[in-house]
Amino acid sequence: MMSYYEFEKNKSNMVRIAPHVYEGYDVMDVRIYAKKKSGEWVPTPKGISVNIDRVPELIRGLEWALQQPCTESESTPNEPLSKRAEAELANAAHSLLKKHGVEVHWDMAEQLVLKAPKMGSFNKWQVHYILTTRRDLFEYKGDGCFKAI
Amino acid sequence: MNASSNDFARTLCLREWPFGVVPDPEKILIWAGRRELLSQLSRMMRRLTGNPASTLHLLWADFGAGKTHTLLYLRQILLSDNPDILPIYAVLPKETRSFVDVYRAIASSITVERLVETYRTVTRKTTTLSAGPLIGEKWNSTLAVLKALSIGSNAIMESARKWILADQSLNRQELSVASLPDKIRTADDAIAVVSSIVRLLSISNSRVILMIDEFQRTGRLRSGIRNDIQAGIRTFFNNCPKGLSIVLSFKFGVAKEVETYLSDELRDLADPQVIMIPILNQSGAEEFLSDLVEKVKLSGTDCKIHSNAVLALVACVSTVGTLKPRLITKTANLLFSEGAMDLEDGIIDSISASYVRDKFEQFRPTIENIDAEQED
Repeated sequence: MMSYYEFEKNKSNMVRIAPHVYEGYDVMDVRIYAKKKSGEWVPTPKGISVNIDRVPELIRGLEWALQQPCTESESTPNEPLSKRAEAELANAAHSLLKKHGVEVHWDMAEQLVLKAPKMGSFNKWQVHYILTTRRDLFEYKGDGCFKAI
Repeated sequence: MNASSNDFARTLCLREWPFGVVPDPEKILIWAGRRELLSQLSRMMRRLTGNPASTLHLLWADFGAGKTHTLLYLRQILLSDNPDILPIYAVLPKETRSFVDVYRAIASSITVERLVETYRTVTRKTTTLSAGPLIGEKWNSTLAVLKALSIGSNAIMESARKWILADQSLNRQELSVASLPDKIRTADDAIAVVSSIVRLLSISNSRVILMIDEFQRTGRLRSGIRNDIQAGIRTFFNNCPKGLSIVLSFKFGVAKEVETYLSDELRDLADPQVIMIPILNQSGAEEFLSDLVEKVKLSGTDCKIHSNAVLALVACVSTVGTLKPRLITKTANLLFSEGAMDLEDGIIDSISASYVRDKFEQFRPTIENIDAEQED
C-alpha cells in the first residue's frame, strides 16, 4: 500500500498527500478524501497532482502565502518579512514560548507574542509563518499547536 | 502504594510512604510545609463560606509546583470539614471539542449518590421547585432524571446515570423505556443542566466549589472552541448568582499570562487576586521535605532518615534544577528507596547526609532527566 501523509479537513474529509506515478510521471498527489457511510475513505476529484519537479515551488509558494495577511479584500499582499525582522520575531517568539512551556494553538501563540513589548509591529500571520517554518525552534504538535524546542 | 513501598516505609520507621509523585484522590493526602499557601487557601475558603454570592477564581502554578496536590488537598479538607460544601474536582479533557466535554468532566466528578441525596432532601422540603428564567426547560428535565435516579429500577437508573453523564451511548430506546427527556446534545443543554444541578444544591444550602484543573489546555484549542468553552462557563456562572465558586487552574511558565487565556468577560468576573503556587525557595523546600517526613514518622520509633539527610537532599536537588515539590519528591522517592534497600541489606544503619550526597552523585543523570521531564 502506498504510504501517505494525511490530516483532517473536517469530520467527513481528509487531505491526503502521497507520491504517485501517473502515466509514467512521478507526481505528488494532494487530494481530498471523503468518508463514505460505510466508514471507507475514497478519493474525490478535488485535489491536484504536481510533478515532483515542482514540489519545491509548491512548498515555497505555501511559505510565501503564510507570510501574507489574510483578509477578505483583494489588496496587494504585504512584502514578506525581511531576514532581520524574521530573526527578531523568531527569537522573541521562541523565548516567550519556551518560558511558557506548554504547547499552544498558533492563535494563542499569536496573542502571547504580539502583546509582548516591541512586538506590536508584527501581525498574526507572520507569527504563524515563523512557527510553521522555523522547525529548528518550534515543534509542531498537531491540531495547529506548537511548542518551543 | 504498593507492597514494596509499604515495606520500605516500615524499614525507615515510617507509617506510610509519603513520596508518591501523582496524588491519589482515594488516599488521605498530606500537606507539608507551604504554610503561607495553605493560609491563603484557608482565607479564600472562609471568604467563600461567609458570602453566598458566586465567585470565580484563578489559580496559577509553576511546573511541578504541586497544583493538583493542592486542589485535591483542598477537596479533601472541604469534604471532611464542611458538609455544606460540595467540592468538585474536574480535569479539562485533552480533546475538548465543546462545552459538552467540559460538562462531561464535571458531571463524572459528582457522585450520583450525592445528587440523589440532594434531590430527595430538596423535594422533602418543598414541592414546587423553581429555577428562574435563565435555566429554562432543562431544569424540569434535570429534575425528571434525578427522580428516575432516585426511585427507578436498575435499568432506569442506569439510563438516568448515562443521561446525567451526557453519555453518547444513551439511545432512543433507553430514553423511551425510562421516560427520560431528550438527552444533552448541545453546549446550551449542558450549561442548563449543570446550572440546574448547582441550583438544586444551593437550594439545599450547599455551596459548590468547582475546580477545573489543567485549564491551560484551552490554549491548545482553536479560538472558536476556546470561545465556546469560555462563553459556556460565563453563562453557567451567570445562571448561578449564588452558591457557586469556580476555580480555574492553570499551569505554565509565567503567571501573568493567565489573562491571555481568558475572554474579557471571564477576566471581568474573576477575583483579581490570582492564587499563585510558585516553586519553593531553599528554606521552603527544606521545610516541605522535613514536614513530609515528620508527618509520617512512626511514633515511638527512631526514624531512619536523619534530619540533616533531608537538608542534604534539598541542597543536592538545588544543584540540578529549581526546587519543585515534584522534583524533590521524586528524588526523595529514589534515594530513600535506595536507603531502605541498603538498610535491609545491612549496608547502612540509617540514612545520613553523606549517604544522600553519595547516592545523589550516583543517580545525578537520572535526576537531571527527571528535572527535564515536563508532563503535558
